[in-house]
Amino acid sequence: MKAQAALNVVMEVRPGHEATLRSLLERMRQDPGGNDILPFERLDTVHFARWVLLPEAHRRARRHCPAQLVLTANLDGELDGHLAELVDVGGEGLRELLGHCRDFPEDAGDEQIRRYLADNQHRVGAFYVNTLGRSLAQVRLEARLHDTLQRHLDDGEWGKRSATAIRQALIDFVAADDDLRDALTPANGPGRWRWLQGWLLLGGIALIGLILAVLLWPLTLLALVLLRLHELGNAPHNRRPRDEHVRVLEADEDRGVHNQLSAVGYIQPGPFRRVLLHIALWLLQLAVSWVFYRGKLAEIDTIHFARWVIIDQGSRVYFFSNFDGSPESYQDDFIERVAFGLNLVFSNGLGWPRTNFLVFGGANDEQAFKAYYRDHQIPTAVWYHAPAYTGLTAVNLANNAAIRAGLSGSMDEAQCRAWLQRF
Amino acid sequence: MPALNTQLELDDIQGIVLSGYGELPQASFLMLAFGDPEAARRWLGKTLERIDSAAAGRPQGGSRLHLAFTWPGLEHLELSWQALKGFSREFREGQAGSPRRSRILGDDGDSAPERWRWGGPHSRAIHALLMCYAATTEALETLLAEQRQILTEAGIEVVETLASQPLPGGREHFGFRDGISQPKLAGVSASQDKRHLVTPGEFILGYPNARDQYTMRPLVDPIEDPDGLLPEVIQDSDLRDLGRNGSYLVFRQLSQDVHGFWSWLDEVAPNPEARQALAAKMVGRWPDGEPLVKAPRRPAGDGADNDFGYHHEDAEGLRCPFGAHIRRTNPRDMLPPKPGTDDSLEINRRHRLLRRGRAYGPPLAESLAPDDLLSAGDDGQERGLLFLCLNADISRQFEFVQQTWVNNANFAGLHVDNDPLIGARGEGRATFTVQNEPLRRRYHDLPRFVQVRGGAYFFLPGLRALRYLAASPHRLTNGVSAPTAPATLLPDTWWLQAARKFNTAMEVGIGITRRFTRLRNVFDRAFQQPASDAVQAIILRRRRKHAIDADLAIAEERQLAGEEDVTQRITELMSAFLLRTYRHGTAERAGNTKTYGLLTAEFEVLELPDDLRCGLFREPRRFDAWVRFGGPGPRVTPDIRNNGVLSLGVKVTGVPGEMLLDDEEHTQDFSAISAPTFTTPDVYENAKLQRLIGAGLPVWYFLNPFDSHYLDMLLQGLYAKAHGSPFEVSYWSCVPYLYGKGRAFKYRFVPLLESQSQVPLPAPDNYLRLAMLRTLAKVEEVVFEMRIQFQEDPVTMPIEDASVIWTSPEIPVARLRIPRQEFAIAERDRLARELTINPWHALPEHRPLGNQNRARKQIYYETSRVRQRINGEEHFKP
Repeated sequence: MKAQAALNVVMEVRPGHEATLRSLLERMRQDPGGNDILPFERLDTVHFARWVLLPEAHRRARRHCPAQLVLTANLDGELDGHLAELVDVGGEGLRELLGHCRDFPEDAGDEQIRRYLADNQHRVGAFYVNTLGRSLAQVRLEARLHDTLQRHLDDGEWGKRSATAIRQALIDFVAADDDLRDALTPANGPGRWRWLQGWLLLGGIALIGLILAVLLWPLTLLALVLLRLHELGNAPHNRRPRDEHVRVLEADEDRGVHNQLSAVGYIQPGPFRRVLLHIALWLLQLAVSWVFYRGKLAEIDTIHFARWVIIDQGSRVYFFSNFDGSPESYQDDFIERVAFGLNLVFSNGLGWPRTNFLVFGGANDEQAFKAYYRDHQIPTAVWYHAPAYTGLTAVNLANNAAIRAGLSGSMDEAQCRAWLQRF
Repeated sequence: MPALNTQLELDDIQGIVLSGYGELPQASFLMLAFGDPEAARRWLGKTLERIDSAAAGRPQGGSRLHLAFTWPGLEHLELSWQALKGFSREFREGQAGSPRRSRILGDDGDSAPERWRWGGPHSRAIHALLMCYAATTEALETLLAEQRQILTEAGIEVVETLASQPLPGGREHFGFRDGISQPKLAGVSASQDKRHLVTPGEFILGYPNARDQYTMRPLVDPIEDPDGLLPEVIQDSDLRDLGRNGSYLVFRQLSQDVHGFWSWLDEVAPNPEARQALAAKMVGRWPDGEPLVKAPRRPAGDGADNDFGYHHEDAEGLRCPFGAHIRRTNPRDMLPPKPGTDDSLEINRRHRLLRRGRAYGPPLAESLAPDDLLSAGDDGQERGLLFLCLNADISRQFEFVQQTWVNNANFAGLHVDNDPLIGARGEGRATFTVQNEPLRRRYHDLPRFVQVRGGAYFFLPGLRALRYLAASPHRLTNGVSAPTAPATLLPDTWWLQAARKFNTAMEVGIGITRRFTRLRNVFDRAFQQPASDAVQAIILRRRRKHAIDADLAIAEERQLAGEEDVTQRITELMSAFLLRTYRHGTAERAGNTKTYGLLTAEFEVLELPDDLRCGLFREPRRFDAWVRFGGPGPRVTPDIRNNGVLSLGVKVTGVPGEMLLDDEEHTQDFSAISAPTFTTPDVYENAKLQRLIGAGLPVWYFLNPFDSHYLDMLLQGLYAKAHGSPFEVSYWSCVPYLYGKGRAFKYRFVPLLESQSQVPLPAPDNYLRLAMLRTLAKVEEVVFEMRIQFQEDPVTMPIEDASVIWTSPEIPVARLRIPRQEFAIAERDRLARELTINPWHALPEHRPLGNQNRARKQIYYETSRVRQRINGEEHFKP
């Protein structure tokens, strides 16, 4: 099984070059897949990718976080090989783009560009993948399978046959088709009992945590008091986002079935919050790679990929995600199904709606959360999704995978019936 | 389960909210465009007498009238900007207001707003909706004639009239029984049906919604509702609630292609029975209203029924297809993650619509039977549904249903299926799947059966809100200065109250230390300079270490990231403070609030070497000037109790040349305070301080351990004290200004007075004014010397950081001579309140520099306008 990996490159922009960079990114935005700077479509294993220009941000005492250019991609397999491929596909346009970034060598050759990108790679705090090991090739194959079988079913007369007979007919049809024959073998996935290992692992950590908390009870008490003080001291931003800001963000939304979010915020000052955030991200990473890797993040089944990254020497975090449906339904899903999870991670951010004991309150305040979301969202300069994904939600992808899985193995009549309802 | 104990104020809610007026089958909807605002308000005042509230109960014949407004309409009526900003963004933008909205509502192709008959970007702007209901056509005619007459007299134009025509059997034009499923309002309806009981706050503003929170609605400060016409907000706030008992009304004219619908069905279905069965599959009910879930194969003749769910009865969609119209518009208990449970119903409850639609246009066939409709052919007549629905949150309710359920090709795991009845069409969304055993049946290339001919978002106010709208406007703010509503009204918790008490205690404590003036003066002589130097050394060390601003040239400014937005927010915060704190006629400045005295003076430019001759100082001459000695805010307090930093405002008049601001002519203003640094170093920190002042917690700005400003506090503390007299204090500009091209300077007004007034103890409330009077009684004139110092290095003498004291040599350039005069008179005090000192009243050679100066341009301008409007004053031009 080839797991998906997160490419994450953060480069500082040369002062004064922001405007030119913006116009180059605008050019790329017109055609994320086939532009002349970095045509993502020619990269065989990229599911989703984006370029984001993090604008210059103010910091205390007249310092500032400079403007930064971020390149992220969700791809199959190990990262090292991909950088070379990326540089190869990029060529002259990529060199021009990166020339606006700090410390980019003059007249860089391919190897130097690759090394520059490798040097500027930034660790990802937590990386969520909807289904571990589902490569782009698999998505393509299963989508092709689904479409072909649907057309085949539409064209044929199936009224009189049993479900088992229909299934067999479909298997024969697939076997005869060169493009689809691979679907007869089951997909390569993670181990069957990985999730059980995951729950045991999390359970073990929870148990150890509880024991430590009880044994070191003065420390726990102190931590709770500190937490409460931090929560009282955090002034929620409570700002309604500006109309112009929202208009810019909305310009690119809801053009297909997928949407994306790029959001950035400050971490609350002080070591306590920083430590808490690191712990939260560590737990989150464990949970998403060992438990929530089979289609659902807690109860949410609409997210394809998501990542949390800490930048600027631990003073800011950015969160990028690719999901199905409208931002409104995305926000509603989060509030309804996993508000405590949001609070656990984001309450360490400056201006988050007020929480009580880390997991209560916070995102449960619907209007405060929705305002915070838009207020901290930044425009994504270039956003790419693989053509194989077009029109397919995560639920569709899971359905396609189940259809493919149903082509192999044996099924009784009732199971065949249920399988046929997937079409 | 929703709370059953919300008490609705029935006498304030318009009747149409609680009843669909089934007893009044005739209806007509008039889209209005206002003329003169005053005439429109008068018309509103008269018309609202005719509007019935829900307390009038179900209508017993006769007629009913109701009124709703668009955002441009409310703007036209000159509603307060604070309220206008409090409406939801969807309402402000309008249904045709943004390309994204048209995308998500499926308004493309022939349904695009550009082609709408009304409400589109090319149509006449609509301001209001007059809804007329009557029992008979005669009653409706009479009502309409009467209303049109009244409208013409008020100069209001009827842009569009949409007449409704009731169809027999409660059906809509495709032949199906409509309006069967409506949410039932908990506390009003007697129903116990869990599936349909919804809390009223989902449809009526001012009550808790399905999340037990209050949906955002427009609120105003009491000063903009002096007659108390509006109800109060229920939570911890003295704001008045314009939205209470109102609702957002969605109106769309949906044209139905009846002939197209039945002829397409005729094409794909082999016989009339199959035709009707497929139509029923598309809708989810048989034409008589019986749900497919209960009678999947043929109608049992039991008629309309609303008592069913989906998950337990039909989990695979074999009875009622997943994509059927009623399953999409009201999924009941089939929503994940736990379909079939109460949790699922909870989620569904948050997306219900209270429908009040009416059919329009003549029926294609009188009987509305499918066979008759088909054989009638295409008569080319316009017919369809005037879709109206009420909801409290347009985005979470109406738009959500349209986008996530109706026009979603991937609804319920489907791939390429939109709502078969009302959905938009196009590539990849024109299929209808009918689940079946063993295999589904799919129909492709469905044409679009429903097109949109017009639409708008309206606000249906409560009756008290209508009265407020009809009253004369109190527009104290404009679009820029009006405070924006916060995302959520924060409750006044115990610890916030405790923090405020702590703040008061600190202020009292500081007040007490102020009284030890002799001790303080001794301390100052010994320690003020060294302590100030030490603090500055720390600040400068940090600046040098990070080479902050090393890349700037002399007199070069740098815009801070997001500066304009912060400035805007400070303006809004300060306006909010003014609106909250003052009653008419008494508003003071939001900063530099108290006036000790407004005096006339002479500004004498001294003889200067050539390189210093620039701008106002080009040649030695004398100008007339106003000088205002003031004290800190935000409120007027006894002198001994203020925060110890005095202010000086000098308005030099008769200055030749063009000024930077055009609200005054030939005036150059100088603004200075009795400390060498501002309280806040830049505009971001200033915004934090303003927010805390508004919350009553200014002390917390300095002491907050998570965001401390200890150095600023020390610097302020070193210079803030109880002064003996405003004439004996130095006033620093703190922020720099341009001195001709390429040079930046700060100035200081140094007192040349020899005397040393003592602070009398106990101190009278106005002891500072008394000290001034005493001094002017003794001496002929009081003189200040204006000294300037130039910027020599961007790192150690920055433009953008107001907490750094410049250490370059001071050069005297002018003298301010204040002659003996009468200034403690009412006339002068009134003038002092009207005068605006703004450093942007300046020659271009002396342009203010730095982010706080840039911010002052807008802040001073806007807040002084708000102050003047609160006091009913004109801007005073000296």
